[in-house]
Order: sequence, then structure tokens, then C-alpha cells
Amino acid sequence: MKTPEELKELVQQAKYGDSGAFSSLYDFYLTPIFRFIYFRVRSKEDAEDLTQHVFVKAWGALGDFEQEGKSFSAWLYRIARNTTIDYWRKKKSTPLDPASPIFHNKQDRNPGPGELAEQKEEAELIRDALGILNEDQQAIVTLKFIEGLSNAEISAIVGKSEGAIRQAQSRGLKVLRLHFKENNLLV
Amino acid sequence: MNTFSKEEQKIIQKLEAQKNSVQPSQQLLSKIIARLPVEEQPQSFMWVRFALPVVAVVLVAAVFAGTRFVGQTPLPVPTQTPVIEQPLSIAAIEAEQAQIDRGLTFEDFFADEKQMQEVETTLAGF
Repeated sequence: MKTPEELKELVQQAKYGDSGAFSSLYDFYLTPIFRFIYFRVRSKEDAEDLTQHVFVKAWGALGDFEQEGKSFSAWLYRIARNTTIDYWRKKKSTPLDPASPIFHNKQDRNPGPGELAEQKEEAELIRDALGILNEDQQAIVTLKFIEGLSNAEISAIVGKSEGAIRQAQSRGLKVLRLHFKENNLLV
Repeated sequence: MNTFSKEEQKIIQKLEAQKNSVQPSQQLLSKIIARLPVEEQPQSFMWVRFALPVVAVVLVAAVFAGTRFVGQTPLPVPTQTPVIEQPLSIAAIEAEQAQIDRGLTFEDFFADEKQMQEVETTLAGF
């Protein structure tokens, strides 16, 4: 875990071309950025490719990033979001790939076969459910409830007011509730 | 402040549980690091990209100009060296001063003795 000051220092060093500092930032942000993308493209391979693309883009554009009063993570998530939007724009369809994801449990590295299957099924259900939301709702619900970001942080990422964020969360949850109910998933 | 129904709270719990269940593969780390320095660089260093060729061109031009001078025959050395007046010694200054104090004589004007005698003869005639 890194403190905000440490992260700020790493960002500053990376801005001056220190690839080691950027590697540390990469280690820190890789998983959340990957997860954010993963729940929106629903294919592990594509999510990994896009995650790489996000960091390569970030490295290239780091010179333009001004730290004063701005969050590096919000900037990174914004790149990830735009990358995902471009991905769908190119694909123009939403294919489901239920077999591809590989899930790991941080708390228990060796879950039993039954537990793993159950976990995988649950994650797939969530993934598919998120797929029925519109782009804004998908991004906002993922950032809020999976990534645990504050409304202010989400506002900086998606460029909407905090009121609009709350509204999108509420609408997204309603859509998800209907979907879960229709599919008898709320047990 | 949002208030969620029980069903929505269940969904939120399910969503929150996903945070610990999805991880990227280990290879992803090495992949990106290998790609970074070669393909892209932060734009804050863009000026180096532009400045370096300019510096290189200036250096090459300077070296080229230098080699041109080396290849040429040297400029002719002036045949007459400038006369540098030596400062008078203290003894010389004192002698000159003594002569001034003594007053000017015919000998001072006529170094040639014959010429001086002629002048004296002429003056004696008056």
C-alpha cells in the first residue's frame, strides 16, 4: 500500500521519464484498472490487452498530466473508460464470453472446486447483469460498488456532477434489481 | 444520501464481493514493462527529441568549420615587427634632466665641430 504522497512522488518521477517509478504505479493501479475494464468488456484476454493499452497510453501522455489539484487515478480511469468506449465502437456488438475469465480469490488462494465454480458463476452473473446497463451506468456502478470510489472521485472520472452520479447509480441499481428478479437471482 | 431497498442492498453486496475475485494474470506485469521505454516516452521529454538533433547539427557544423581552417595554409606573418619603445632608465632620465638644467650650448645644435667653427667665425665678424 502506498500513501498519497508516495504516489504523487512516483507520478512526478514518472513524468520525468523514470520508467521504474512508472512500474511502481503500474503495480499499484494494474488490478483496479484491469477489473474496471474486465467488467465492461467481459473477456479476460481483451481486458488484459486493453489494460496494457491504457498504461502505454498513460506513459505516452504523462507529460500532459498536471498533478496540481488533479487525481492521477481519476486520470488513469478516464483513459481506461475512453479505451473501453473505443473498443465497443470498433466491435459494434456485445458478445458474451462466459468461458474465458479466470478468477482468483485473494483471501483464499486455493478454494475448493465447488467454491471456485460457485464464485465463477456469481462473477459471470454480475458481469452479464452489468452488460445490460448503458455505458454511463456501467462505468458508474462499477466504480462505485466494485472499486469503492467516492462520488467525487467518480465525478472527476466521468465528468458529471455528483448529483448526476447518484442518479445514475440509483437507475443502474433499479435495472439490475429487475434483471436479478426476472432471473430469480436474488436469493 | 441514497437509500437502497433490501434487494438493492443485496445487489450491492454482490457487486462489492467482486473486488476480491477478479485479478489479472501474472504475465501482464512483465508484458507492459517490456513495452514501455521503447515504444513511448512521456511528452515532457519531447523537447529533448527536438533539441538533440539541433545540438547535433550545430556540433557537426562547428567541427566541419574547424576542419576547414585546419586544412588552410597559415596566414602570412607580418615582416616588420612593431617597434616597441623601451622605457627610459632612471640614469638616462637624470642625465637628460641635468642637461636641461645646464642649458643648451652650441654643441647641442651642432654636433659637427667643423660646422660649429664656421658659425663661430661668422659670429666673430660682427
